[in-house]
Amino acid sequence: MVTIKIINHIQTNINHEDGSRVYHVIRNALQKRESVVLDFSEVDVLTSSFLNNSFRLLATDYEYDFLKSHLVINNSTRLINQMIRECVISTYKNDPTHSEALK
Amino acid sequence: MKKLLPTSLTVQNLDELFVGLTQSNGTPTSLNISIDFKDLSYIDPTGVTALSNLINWLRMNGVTVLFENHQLLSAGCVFLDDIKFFEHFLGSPLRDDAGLRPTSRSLEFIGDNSRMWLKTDFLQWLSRNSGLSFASFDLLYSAILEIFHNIDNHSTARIGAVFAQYLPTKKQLLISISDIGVGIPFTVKKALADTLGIWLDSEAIEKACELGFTSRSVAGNAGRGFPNLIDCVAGNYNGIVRIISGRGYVQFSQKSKRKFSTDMSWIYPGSMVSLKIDMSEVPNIESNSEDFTW
Repeated sequence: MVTIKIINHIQTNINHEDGSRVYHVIRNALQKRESVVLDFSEVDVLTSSFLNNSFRLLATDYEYDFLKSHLVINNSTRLINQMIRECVISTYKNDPTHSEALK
Repeated sequence: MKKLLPTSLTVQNLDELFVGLTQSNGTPTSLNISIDFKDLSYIDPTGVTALSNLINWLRMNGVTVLFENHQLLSAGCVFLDDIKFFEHFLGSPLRDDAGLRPTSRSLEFIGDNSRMWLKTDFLQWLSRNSGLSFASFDLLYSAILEIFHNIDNHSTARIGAVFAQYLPTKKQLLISISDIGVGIPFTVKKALADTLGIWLDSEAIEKACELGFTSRSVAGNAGRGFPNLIDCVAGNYNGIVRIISGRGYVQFSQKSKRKFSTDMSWIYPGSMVSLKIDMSEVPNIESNSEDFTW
């Protein structure tokens, strides 16, 4: 299991560039079939452009069950949790090949 | 050319600032403009960022901008002096005892480090003034970052300003964010390939506020920035979101059920987002930590 401290990959205003950096770090770990702990300590909020370039892409790359079983999210807030869930679930809902997994 | 500032410069009468200074093709009307401050007795956050935006826009377009009668220290000038307006534009404050008031922040220019300003300055100040915990502002924090991203992504000039004021008696937060750029209508019309100019500027702004609409200026964007902001301010906090860009003016209020939209007779160079939030509608959240579950 590998731990990724999200704050270490945020360089600007939690924007698309930060999201893209985080996406590549997580994807590299998942490609090794490792489980990943995402540590959100010191991250207060997320934004839509961050999520669209990180979690939305992960939801495009991987099955819902795979993400559920391989991603552990720690030290997050209620809003961060809600935003991640909404981003991931809406991505699957908009993709007919994945939407069955949500049922 | 002289521009006499009105007695009161607010979101209600921005036309008095811009009429005569911008031509219909979006360029300045004169290469020398003198701004006369003698009558200015009141200026609200939208007025502050609009004035700041205008000066930066004129300078960017090669206009020499001079200030007149600011040393007369009208009430409006004293306020501008306290928020470091003159320090920014003239290099030093007008008064030796100019100082930030507890109910406002200084005029701030948006850059790569604005997230830290939001976190360490603005939200701490808002928490002190409102009596609400820092954790209570997560949603607002995220929504304002979305506006900063819009400036980063859509403003060619990448010059933006933000100013916030808290009105203790009304328990209201006023915050205004403005940039100098091509403006929202231009970006939306370009994305819609509206070469015939069918869309009004206000309609283009409304389009930018629709969930899922994106100009694709940044790969991967999914058009959630403005909808998130409107949901947060107008929906959750019973506040008002005003968006002004080009000739367009769009206002969202009362849980997004009411929308007012019009095209103006004058042009706003760039974009302005102005928020009014009733802080009594913001719930106090002691702790926002929560274990994640799918």
